[in-house]
Parts: sequence; structure tokens; C-alpha cells
Amino acid sequence: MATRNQARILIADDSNTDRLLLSSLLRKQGYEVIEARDGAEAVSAFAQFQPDIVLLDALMPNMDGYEAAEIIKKQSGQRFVPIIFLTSLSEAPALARCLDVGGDDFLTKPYNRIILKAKIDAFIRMRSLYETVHEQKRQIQAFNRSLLEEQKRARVIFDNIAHRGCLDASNIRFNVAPLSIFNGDILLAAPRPRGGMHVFLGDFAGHGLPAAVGALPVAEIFYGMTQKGYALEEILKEMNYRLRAILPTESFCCAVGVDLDFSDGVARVWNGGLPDVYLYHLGRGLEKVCPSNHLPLGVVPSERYDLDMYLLDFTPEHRLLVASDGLLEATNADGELFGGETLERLIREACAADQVFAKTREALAAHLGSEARTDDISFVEITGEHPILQTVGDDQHAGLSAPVEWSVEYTFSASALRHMDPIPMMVQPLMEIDALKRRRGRIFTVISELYTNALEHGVLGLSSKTKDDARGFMRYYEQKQSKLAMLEDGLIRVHMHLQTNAGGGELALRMEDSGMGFNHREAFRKTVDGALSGRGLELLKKLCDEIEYFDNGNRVAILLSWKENQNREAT
Amino acid sequence: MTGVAVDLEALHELQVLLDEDFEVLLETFVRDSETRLKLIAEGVAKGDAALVREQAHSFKGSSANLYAPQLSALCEALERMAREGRLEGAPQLVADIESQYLAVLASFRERGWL
Repeated sequence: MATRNQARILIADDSNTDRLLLSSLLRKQGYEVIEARDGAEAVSAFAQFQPDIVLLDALMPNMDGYEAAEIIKKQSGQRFVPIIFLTSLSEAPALARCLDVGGDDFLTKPYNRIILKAKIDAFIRMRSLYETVHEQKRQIQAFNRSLLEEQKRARVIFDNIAHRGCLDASNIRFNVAPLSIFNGDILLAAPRPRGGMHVFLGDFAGHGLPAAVGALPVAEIFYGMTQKGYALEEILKEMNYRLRAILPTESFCCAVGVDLDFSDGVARVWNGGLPDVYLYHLGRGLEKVCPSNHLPLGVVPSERYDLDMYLLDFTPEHRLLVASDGLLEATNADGELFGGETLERLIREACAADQVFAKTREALAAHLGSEARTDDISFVEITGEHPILQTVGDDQHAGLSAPVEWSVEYTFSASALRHMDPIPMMVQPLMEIDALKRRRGRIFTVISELYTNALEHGVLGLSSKTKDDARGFMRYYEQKQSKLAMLEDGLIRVHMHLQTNAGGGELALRMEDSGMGFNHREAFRKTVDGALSGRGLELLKKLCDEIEYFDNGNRVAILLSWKENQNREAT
Repeated sequence: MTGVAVDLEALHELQVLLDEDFEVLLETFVRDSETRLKLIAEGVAKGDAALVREQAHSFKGSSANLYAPQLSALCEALERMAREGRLEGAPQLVADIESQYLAVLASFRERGWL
């Protein structure tokens, strides 16, 4: 058809004279002509020869032109095959009927050879244009299908990386787009190895693939670093660094990072470009609004990055509400925004009954009306209740299980203590060992307790008594921050000796700090009496096989041992 | 009947265009026309308006295509008459068509086309 260099024309006319005249004229003009003597012949010739244009006499025996035209139009399906009626009909109703059955034009007798050629050529051009458009449409459809297929596959990869972590924990209520890959929002939550939790809500500028591409490293950094025990600051700094490196300059990620410490009852919140984060208390109502006070991720170099956080009381009666712009900017049919005042009113009204999340969802649905989708708007409410974790975002690949023995010593000077968090560095080599990987929580807790003691009570000389009253934690945190920032002298030295064999293994760890020490004999006696002394001694005694303090109490040695074939302990 | 039976100039143009096909075309026209005239006469005699209409319609078209406008006009009149189902005046009209047809043939012969 389209590849034939001359158009093929089917003529159907029962009048020999007229048919001969027309076919002769067209052949002389260079067209290929197929002849039929009535409608029935025309229909079968059409199927057999697939002509480009059909010329039909209206009145013919057997099957007339009207019927033949209908059948031919039906058979041509998606193809455009022009039908021109040959007629000396002069009555309007008969001409109208020609068009009704799918005719595209008329030729009246006597034929004018110039008009004949002009019409046929015009239809051939139209037909080739139609074929081109049709082919392009087919290509677009095929492209669209493969694009959707690719997006589906991309979604699987995305879900594997940006899985929901521990979003199903009992202390998290969230509303997030099922296709968040394409709306640019990302919500992540992961338990910290030594207890507590990190939650992250990000809103990428832009939608679609660029946003999804940015979301992947964010998720990987979040889960990877949280699991390795990094502080939220380090995680945000790394995200910022990576996003700045990979995103085009006009792209960035507005985000809120939340670090929850349930046992201390403290939440730390970092807000870079997202709407206000609300803190409220079931009994006391709205307690604090945390507006964005940082640039979004991916804008400025990490060394100039400000990681100051809001430090918040976060008891089991406290709630945090974090939302992306989508919530506040949700627009109803009248063009009104959902807005922050609505949210604050909901918090005031529903707070006591702990219904803020449910009421926000309801209000949003009512605001948008029944037909609108509300599930592409992300917001999350986090409670201070100790969570029950349904899933643990642990990496499953096995570590080393062959017998090994090694020692390592770290010395952290004042500048290192000021600028970095050495806990992941100490823990990481241990996590190469399969047996310890399965005891991640215990290892983390022991090492971070020891390090916290060495840094806060030892090097910084803070007193744990500060933490005793209700406001104490906040004051303690603030003191720690300011003392650490000004630290000039100080040292922490750590020595670890690891030995494993088929039956189990043991880790001997010594930690020494440059501080004043403490009355460890007194402290131990008190724990026997059941009184708390700070320094987490009770916890350490429970988790370690041996614990011993030396000198002024600024040197401590512990022994952790384990046996294989023992039930896996919860981490 | 007044005026020329055939637009000979237009027909000559067609002759130039169709070359050897032109002769075949005229022969076909003569054969077709004679068949039609016979069927029309039969139809009128039997009062078969549908047959008369059908044949007059085709004759109208082919005579128009051979640039015989008066013959075509007479056929159209007969077609209309048959469509309206009143064949009373038909014999006169058929006679006119026959004589006009003979005039067309005469024109062809004059040019040496038949």
C-alpha cells in the first residue's frame, strides 16, 4: 500500500461504458486500476487487492454502492481508505446518503479529467498523511506502553531500596502516596541500633524520574547509616553531600529529620524547607512549632551546612506532626488552601482525644471533596510511646563466621571528639562477624554506653545528677553541646580484642578517658542496693559478662562472650 | 430537437487522451445503449417502472459521459417519470430518446468514429 509507487484504485460501476471510460482515463494518468461490475464484486476485490482509493457507483445490481461502502469502511478498520461516489444523482437526499454510509466525496458524470485527477491526488496525499499520523500514533502508544512498563520495573527497584523500614511501628501514623516515587515525596523510618528511631520526610522539588532518582540515595543513606549507628546529623550531612553531587542545580529536597530517644524522652528535629513541625501534648495541647530554619538538602556544600536541631521533650504523651507542602497547599474546589490555621485548630480540638491524625485525614478528605485523591499528600504523626516494631530493617547478608582473632586500638583526641561520632567506627569492624551482627543491639548499647560515659562524665565532666528532674534532660543536652563545642583538651582511648572459634567467642574492650574519674566503688555498692547511679551501670552489668573499673574510675574493662547454637537474641 | 447532439470538441479531446481505447469506448457505448433501449421498450410495454427507471438512469450517466447532453436530459426525464410511477407519457419520450440516440450515432459517423 504505502510502499507501492503508484496508487491502486478500485472502480465499481455496472455501466460498461462508464467503467471503461473511467478506468481508461485513470490508467492513462498512471494509476493501477481494478474493476468491479457491482457492489458484491467490489467488496471481494477490495479484500483481495487492498486498493488505496475506491470509486463506487451508487446504483448497481446485486449490491448497491451504499451497502458496499459500509462493508468496505468496516473492513478498512484503522486504515483510511477514501471512498468516492460516482454519480449523476442530483437529489440532495441521495447525496446525503452517500456521505452517511462513509463516502468521502462525489464525482459527477460527465467526468472532468482535470477534476478527476485533482481529487484522486488530493485523497492520495490525505491518505498518506493519515498513514503517517496513524503510524506515529502507534509509535507513541508503543512508547507509552514501554514507558509504563519501565516505570513499573523502576518502582520495584525503588521499593527495594526505599522500603518503608519501620513505618509500621506502633508509634507512627502516616498518610503517604502509594506512588510516592512519582510525586516526589519520600517517608522513611528506621530503628537506631541502640534504641530509639530515625524518621525522615523528604519532598523533592519536581516530580517524576528526577525526584525518584534523588530519592534512591537518600533512602540508602538513611537506612545504611542509621543501621550503622550514625547520628542524624551525620546522615543529613551525607544526604546533602550526595544530593548536591547528583542533582541538577534547580533540584533539591526539602526535608525534616527526626531523632527519637524514647528512654530519655527527647526528640531532636531538623527542618530544612518543609512546613512547620508541630509538637503537642495530649494534656497540654500545642507546645512548640518548629519552622524550617535550614536550607533544603542539596543546596549548599556540606561544610557550610547548619545542623542545629530543635531539642524537644518527648514523653509518651507527646506527638510530633510532620507534613509536606502538599497538606497545607491542598486546594479545594473554591481555590481555598487547607492551610496551617486549620491544622493548628485540629490540634487544639483533637489533641486531648489523641485524634489529631484521624481528624486531619478526615478534614483533608472533606476539604478536597469526594472525588479528589487525598493519598498523594504526605504527613506523619509520631508518638512518644515506646514503639512495638513489626519489622526490623536489618540487612540480611551473612557476616564472617570462620574463627578469627584480632586487636585494634583507637585514640580519639579533642578535635575528633568535637567533630565526629566514633561509635559507628568502633562498632563497624565487629559487625563483620556473623555472631556479633546478630547481637547488634547489645554491642551497640554496650559500646555507646561506655563511650557516652567516657565522653560526657569523663572528658566533659558532666554530672548525671543534672538529669534528675523533669527539665533536666534538656539542660543536660544543652550543657553537653556547649562544652563539647569548646573542648580543647581531652582524650579517649579504646582497645578491643576479639577472638572467635567454632563454639562462640569473646570481645574484651578497654576504654580510658582523660577525665577526673568517679567513685566507682561507691557507685557499684549503690547498684546492689537498687538505687540508680547514672552512668548506666546497671544496664552494663546486665549486658556484659564482666565489668571492672580501674584507677580513678576513668579506665573500664568489659568482657562480652557468646556461645553458638544459642537462640538468636532480639536486637 | 434542436442544438447539437454531441459536443464533438470535448469528445475529440477524450479521443486524444484515450488513444486506442477511444474506439473500444464508442463500441461499448453503442452495445450498451442498444441493450438499454430494448429493455426500456420492454419495460414500458409491461408497465415495469423499476426496469425503466434503472435503465434510464444508467443511460443518462453514460450519455452524459460521452458528451451527449440532450440524450442525457431525455433519459433523466424518463427516469423521473418512471420513479414517479407514471408511464403514460413514456412511449412518446422513448421515441424521442431513440431518435436522439440515432442523431448521436450520426454525429459519430460524420467524424468517421464508427
